[in-house]
Amino acid sequence: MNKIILFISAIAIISSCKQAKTSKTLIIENVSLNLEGPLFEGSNTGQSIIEFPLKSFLSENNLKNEDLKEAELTELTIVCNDSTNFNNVQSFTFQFVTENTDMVKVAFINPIPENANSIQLKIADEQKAIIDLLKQDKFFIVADAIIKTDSETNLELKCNLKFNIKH
Amino acid sequence: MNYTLRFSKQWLGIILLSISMFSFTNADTDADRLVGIWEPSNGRSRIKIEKIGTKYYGKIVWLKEPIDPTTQKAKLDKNNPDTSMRNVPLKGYRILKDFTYKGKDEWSEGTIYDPENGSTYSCVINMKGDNIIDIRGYIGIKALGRTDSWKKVTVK
Repeated sequence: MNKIILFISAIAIISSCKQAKTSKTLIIENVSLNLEGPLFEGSNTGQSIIEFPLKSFLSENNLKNEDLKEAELTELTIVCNDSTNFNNVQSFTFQFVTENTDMVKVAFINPIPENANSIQLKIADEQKAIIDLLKQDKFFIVADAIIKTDSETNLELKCNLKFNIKH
Repeated sequence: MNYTLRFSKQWLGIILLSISMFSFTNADTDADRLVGIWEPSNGRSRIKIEKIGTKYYGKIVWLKEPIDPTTQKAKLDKNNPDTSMRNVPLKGYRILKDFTYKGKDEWSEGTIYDPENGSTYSCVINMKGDNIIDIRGYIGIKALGRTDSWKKVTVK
């Protein structure tokens, strides 16, 4: 009887070890995202495309697409690219989307701190199918900004993204 | 003879290419009729539909009552089931997502979000003339749903 219990315990330990996933960090930096002027009071949108987001990550870690199980965005920082700041922006909402996956709202900030030219956004607790999105050849970053007053100038941003990927 | 045959093959190729390019352009134009600003029947908001990639998305660009009477501040997505997202402003909120054009005046495979209760429904859009669309939100099957007619807002 003891031998049976020992055997079952051993099987349980082995299978739980098999299920344990290893995490690695994927950083995508300096993504240009422009909201082209004239910008009108209210909602304005800017987009950027990231191509082959996992290419170097997979080769550096000796992994294949199918090895990756889960992913979540853990950090999204935006930096204002010119000498001004975000004072004419009330809020930002960021979404990711691809041709083959649904749009996911991933982060936002509302309101924006005064005189800030670098902001860390609040990340969504619920992020659906981020791993499927990263496995595509390209994905769109869609940024919706609420502008306070009409402006003739472009709003040029750099985005830094950090993902936690489990395999 | 050979020259004539080669010449007519070249022309046939050009004609076929032109026809296929024309039909692609036409399909795009047909689908893009959805792009614009639309007003639901209750007149309390306006939704701007735009194209991202090959799909269509709609965000709130105008609210008749933009201020929350309780907080005296801009309305927020306070009913979102993801509590971390409840401070997202309703102005600019993308309530229509991921619609693809299926031909015959129909855009489907998308969703509509109702900020009044924080629920997301499957949705199909049908164009009923140049300036009217029927938006049907449903759960599971189309029969179990509600349709609202939205009219196009002309921007001066």
